[in-house]
Amino acid sequence: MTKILVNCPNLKRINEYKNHSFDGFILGIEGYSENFNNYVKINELQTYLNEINKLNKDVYIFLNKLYFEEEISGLKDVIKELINNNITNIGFTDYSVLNIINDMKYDKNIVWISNHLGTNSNTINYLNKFGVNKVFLSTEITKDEIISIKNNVNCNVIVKMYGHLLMATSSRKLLSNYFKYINKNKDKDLYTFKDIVKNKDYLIKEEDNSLFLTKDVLNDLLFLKELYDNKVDYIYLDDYLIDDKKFLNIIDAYSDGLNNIDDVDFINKLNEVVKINTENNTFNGFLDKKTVFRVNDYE
Amino acid sequence: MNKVELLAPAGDLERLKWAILYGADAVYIGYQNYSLRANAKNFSLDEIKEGVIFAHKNNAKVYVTVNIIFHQEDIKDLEEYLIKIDEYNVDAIISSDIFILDIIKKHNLKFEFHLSTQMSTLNSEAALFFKKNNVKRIVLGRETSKNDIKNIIDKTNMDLEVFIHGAMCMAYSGRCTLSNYLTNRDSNRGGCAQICRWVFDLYDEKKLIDKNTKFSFSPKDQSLLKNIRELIDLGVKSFKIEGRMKSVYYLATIVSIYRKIIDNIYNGNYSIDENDIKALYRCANRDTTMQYFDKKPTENEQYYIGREENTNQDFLGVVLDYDEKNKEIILEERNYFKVNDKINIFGPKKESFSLKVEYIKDEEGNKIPCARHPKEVLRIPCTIKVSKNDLIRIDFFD
Repeated sequence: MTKILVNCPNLKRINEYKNHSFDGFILGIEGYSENFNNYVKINELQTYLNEINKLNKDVYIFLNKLYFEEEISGLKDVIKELINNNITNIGFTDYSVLNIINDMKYDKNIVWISNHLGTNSNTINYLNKFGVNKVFLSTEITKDEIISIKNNVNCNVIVKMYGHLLMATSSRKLLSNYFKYINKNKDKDLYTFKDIVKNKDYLIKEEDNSLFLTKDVLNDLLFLKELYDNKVDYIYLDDYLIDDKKFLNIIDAYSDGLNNIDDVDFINKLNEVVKINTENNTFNGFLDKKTVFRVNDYE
Repeated sequence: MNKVELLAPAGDLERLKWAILYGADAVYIGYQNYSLRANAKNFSLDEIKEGVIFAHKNNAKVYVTVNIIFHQEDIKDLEEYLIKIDEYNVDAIISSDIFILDIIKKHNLKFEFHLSTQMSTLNSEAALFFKKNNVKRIVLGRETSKNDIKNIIDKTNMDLEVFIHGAMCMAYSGRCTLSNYLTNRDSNRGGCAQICRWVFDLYDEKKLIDKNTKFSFSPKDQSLLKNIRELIDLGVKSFKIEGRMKSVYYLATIVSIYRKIIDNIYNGNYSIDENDIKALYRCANRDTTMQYFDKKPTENEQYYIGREENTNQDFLGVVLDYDEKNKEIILEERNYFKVNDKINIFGPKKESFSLKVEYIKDEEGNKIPCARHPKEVLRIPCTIKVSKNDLIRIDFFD
């Protein structure tokens, strides 16, 4: 049965999710996670957990940054706090997290947030030896690759199906640096950059790192049945920059889709709902588009 | 005390030989598959074998990059390939996909596993994870500072390889798929279209931020020429030069300069020649900075507008032989030069020297006013004996 994961909103809004069908909240920790709308301070975690428990949802904490040496001491404190709070799903991108939680004998679910790197089953099976039992797959692979990976691993796989896609992460302050160079004030942390040749827009956001995102929103609802039939364990719906109310409609559309997985006409209608709630700026990502890497293969 | 290793790129067998000749202790190369420079000439299996034999004869090592992020379809023939290059006695592979550690164990392969910079290892805890799992060396993420390097060495005693010179990625290595999205070319399998060298317009909603200065995230090149001594003192094991796609001239210039500095440090007479700085700049024709070594990069470590990248014709020719009787250099021309031009000659492990071109003779012995046909064999007078494979460049040191 395919489950749905969504990002946890701020404390005040958790209750708004009460009547919507999904399985787990993903939380980002302030200073140790990135690319979330809302970050949880580590000393607020217990309060969040209390609210989430009322909704009876699973909790995932994603430590999805790369860490410099100076951050490691704080990272260890955060991980200790997560373990003390009996968090049952800890996600990592940087291998420091895996090393620390292995050293601390953490025996719950470990999620590899692969950020572009989860592209084959062998790597996942290798990580399985270290307790990794859930994997957030790369968003740059095809549906056939997802299915092939799922068929060759003993881990749960998580596939992002809705939201802006992360294209790149830089530790440079690319917006701040540019604004300094042109001697203007940077008023916000999110801007649009335009590919001048193709007249195509993308997003750049500056947190601790500079994050490059698609401006178009991934929507793979029409692939839901195929992924469901191939036993994809989790789908992830990302609310970043999506209107709060509209995002709840998106959750409902995917949830209704899973509950009516064989009804093609109904899913087509749901897909229209998703598009309307996303102002029609949707695309399919790479699920049906294979990348090339040799110039000779390029059409 | 073990001397630090100077590790040079080699895009093909010719470059491998030049890099070793000019003083590299080791080279890194790529096979036609599994390597992040998918569009470089790269090596066939036979060339890998020949390259290893050449390197080992010259007391140098060969590391083979197996550094793509593997997709399902890429794995099929990998084991067979790794067994084959192990038979050729390659010294290490540089890889970012850690499942290969299992293949090494399964087949008891002899080569070392060096973790690629594509894994962006930035801290000691990540390094310890890899150390526990038989990674022999880590190529650190280029975002690590001097303090990071020191801390990682102090806490892990791990063999570390650090980039000292060359082009930089804008993003964390392996964490950039802009190429996939903007051109459908897979950056993590060697198809990177270098989107970070493009220029864009930046908008706040619909308002253009600056009509005069395009938004760009292109970093200047990195050079740690002035930090070599510090890096040696920190205990870094290997100094890596970037650039498997670069020319023979670039390679020879960069390798010979760093070779000289490293050797001078171990010989107790450390100094940096301003001419070397000039040569480094001119052969890539890009600005260099220390990038992350001393601080987080600012706007000064980036290119916006006003950057000029005019290609120069500094590289004039390759010495084929020296005619001691007539005191003439026999050379193969690369770029135009003429009588009375001032040229500079440099070679492996020797001081460069300059001279004025008194005359130029063609292959038939006719005196000609200028050399204008690349690959033509010519003679110029020189009283100092030069050696085969010395290189001739414009004297730009005045």
